[in-house]
Amino acid sequence: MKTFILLFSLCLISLKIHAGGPYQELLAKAGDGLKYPNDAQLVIFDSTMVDMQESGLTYVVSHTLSKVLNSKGAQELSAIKYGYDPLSAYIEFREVNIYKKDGNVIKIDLKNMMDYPAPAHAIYWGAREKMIAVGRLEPGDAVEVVLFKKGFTYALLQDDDDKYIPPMRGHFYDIVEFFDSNPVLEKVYKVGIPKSKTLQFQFYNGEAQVSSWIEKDKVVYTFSKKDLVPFKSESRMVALSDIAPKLLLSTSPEWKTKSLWFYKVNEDFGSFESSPEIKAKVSEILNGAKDEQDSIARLTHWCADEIRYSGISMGCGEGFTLHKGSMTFTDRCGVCKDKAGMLITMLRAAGFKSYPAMTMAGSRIDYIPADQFNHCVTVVKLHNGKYKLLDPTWVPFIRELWSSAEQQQQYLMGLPEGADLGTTTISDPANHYIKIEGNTELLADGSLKGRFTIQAEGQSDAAVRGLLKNYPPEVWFQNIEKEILKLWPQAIVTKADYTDPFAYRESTEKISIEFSIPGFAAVSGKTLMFTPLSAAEIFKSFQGQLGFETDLAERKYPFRDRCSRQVSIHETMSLPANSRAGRVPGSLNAGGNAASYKGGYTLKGNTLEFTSKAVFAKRIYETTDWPEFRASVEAQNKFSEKAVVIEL
Amino acid sequence: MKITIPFIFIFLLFFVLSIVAQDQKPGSVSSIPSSDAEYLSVLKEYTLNADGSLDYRYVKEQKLLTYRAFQNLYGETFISYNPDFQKLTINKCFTVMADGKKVETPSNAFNEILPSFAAGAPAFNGLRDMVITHTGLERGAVINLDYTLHTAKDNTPAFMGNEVLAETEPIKDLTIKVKVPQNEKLFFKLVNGAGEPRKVVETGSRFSFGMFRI
Repeated sequence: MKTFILLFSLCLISLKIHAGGPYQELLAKAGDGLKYPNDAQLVIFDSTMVDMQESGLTYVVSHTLSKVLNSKGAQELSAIKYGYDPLSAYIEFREVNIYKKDGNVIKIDLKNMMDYPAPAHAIYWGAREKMIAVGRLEPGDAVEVVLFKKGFTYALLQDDDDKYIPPMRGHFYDIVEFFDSNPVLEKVYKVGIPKSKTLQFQFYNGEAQVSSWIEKDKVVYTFSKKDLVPFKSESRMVALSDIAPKLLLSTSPEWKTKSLWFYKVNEDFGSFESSPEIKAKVSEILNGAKDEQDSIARLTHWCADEIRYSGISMGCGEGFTLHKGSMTFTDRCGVCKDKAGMLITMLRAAGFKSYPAMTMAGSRIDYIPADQFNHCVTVVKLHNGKYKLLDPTWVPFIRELWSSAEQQQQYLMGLPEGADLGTTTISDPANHYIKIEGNTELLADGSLKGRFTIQAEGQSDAAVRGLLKNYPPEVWFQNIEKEILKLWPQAIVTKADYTDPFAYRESTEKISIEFSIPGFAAVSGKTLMFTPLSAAEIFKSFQGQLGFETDLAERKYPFRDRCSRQVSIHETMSLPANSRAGRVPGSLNAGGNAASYKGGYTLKGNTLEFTSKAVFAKRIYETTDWPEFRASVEAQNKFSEKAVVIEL
Repeated sequence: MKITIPFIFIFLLFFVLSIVAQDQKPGSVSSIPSSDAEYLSVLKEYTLNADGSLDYRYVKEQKLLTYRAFQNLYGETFISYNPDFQKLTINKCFTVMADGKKVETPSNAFNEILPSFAAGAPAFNGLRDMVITHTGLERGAVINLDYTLHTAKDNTPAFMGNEVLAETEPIKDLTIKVKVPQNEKLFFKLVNGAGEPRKVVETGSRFSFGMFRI
């Protein structure tokens, strides 16, 4: 009991409960769950103050006040956590206070802060988190957090504060999102830059109040925006950062400077030095290579298939520095930059000129030279002097060297002569064709028997191949069988043929199914009604366009598919003798340059044919492309809804 | 020291331990292995120490047969534990590559993380997953792993376990050992199968053995 009393007394002292506080009026006026019925939290203010040093080191203080609107918000704010990389960043909770709805203010004892390894998946670089347990909150309560940060995401240097200086020493950049999943009443970003530096900045996708003034030896820039509301997303839209308000800042003068730096930092580190073991492996891989393209393909596919994606840290230098080829060759694992580095090392060992490049998978890189990268790839210089992009991370068991799932994507090569920001070209949809061919026979009792074959190329091939490659062999038959069973559960699949899914360099994947379907057609006297499998979306899972919802009449934002694609479907169906057309849906022609569809039936004698061709020309589409895209998908969908009727 | 906690083990036997040929449907590619990997040997050894503390030792030799095996399935080993009362010791960890080259797992391949299920939950913040990233993996490589997890006394209500004698890959040699002091009784049952463990009194030792070897 004595212990309990002592603990309780200590708690009272440490919590320092008192009434009132500086934000009571602000909180009272801000609104509550009635005003924001669809939101869990209301951010009253979100302020960030950045103080840049000559070295590029930044001291950052962020200050937020968030109000709980409902029980979900209470749960979200019950623990406050921030991630950091201890090799290059430092964070410290300066203050955490709870403003209770009844006016009491509870100061959280920061001694209870938890510092622990962060949850991780696939990349184990020693990232950590710091967390403060706020505890139970009620709607109307608010949480104030003052956080100090210094440092960077990546580390190259390691002396006192040196380890927090960004790898591109003397330079500063930031990407500041002026959007949030919660409503924000006011967001302010303030940065002090040494007078000796030139700051380039642009506010994208909206407007902000901007000011700059001189304060001692710094130029202080302030950006603020009021009443930020959560974005209403559209399905399959591009990344939020492509269309929502954001601020980019950089003291780096141009992309070429970044390119030169990226080249030099890895050359200085010796990332691409070879070893006798690597040279021996390169010789083994290239034994019998036919030409330049074949050599590049062999090495790219070896790195793609044999270096598995799993990141372990090399310690100091992790981040922008690519692991040495010898390390990755021994580990046989790494993240994208290490796989890219392994390929560069092997290409150089084979006599090629090869360099790293950075890119941004999933969203756009805007032209202010702030680091908007999340992915690393390889470039090789061909004998004709042109640079070719290779991505060993995105092409395991894919019949490409550069993934077309990365078309219309920005990249920056780290070249000795420097480079500007580039954008990858559109890949011809014919490079990613899907061909579906069916031969079927409809019997007078309404049953159907026949055979369907699917064959594909490029990214479409990867999707079809994945039906087998991504699963244990014992379920391959079932996986193929499901393609029919999900349309016709009573179908009996008698045979499934497929090519070796791992022999992707030899041939495209080809899968054939032989089947019978009792009760396929609805029979009424001498009338049969049915929808051919080819029109009923067989192999739908490989046709990404059919996953688009077409309810939206128009779009506010650009949208994206996985890849450009061309789908050709043809089925020849033998009908019972003396069949006559009761109702055969006609032809449809829709779309234009961005997307198109043409398909329809022909009936000649007792042979019914269905033929269609759909073309989806890009990965990233503009809003103006949507009518064509939508019409093309709807046209294909319409055939699945319109049955054929024949009379015997 | 007199140990008063009960010792209960339940063994569930499923008939998937050895390579069982699936019904081969038409269309199979003969060059594809019938499983992604195979365990050359697995040892699971439970020890109740005289002071009431527990040791769990796990040893495996696992041969990887497919790309899926090392790209998707067995590249990492996750060992969950609570450092407040458990101590993890990695006894051995290396890979023997297909050509026989031995690759010791480097120190940077052992990383602690917070289990994802404990994320954002302050009360469970002390839990840890040790992630072992196995290096040198390729088709034909053999992962060798040997670790011991020591649990301090008075942290479990009993010395007990529940071992399902089945894996998703074939096992050539599975041994489960349960070691208890000779003066203690071990209650155990093998469910869904027949068989008796081999009981051995270790000479010069205070332990008796309960062992399944399949």
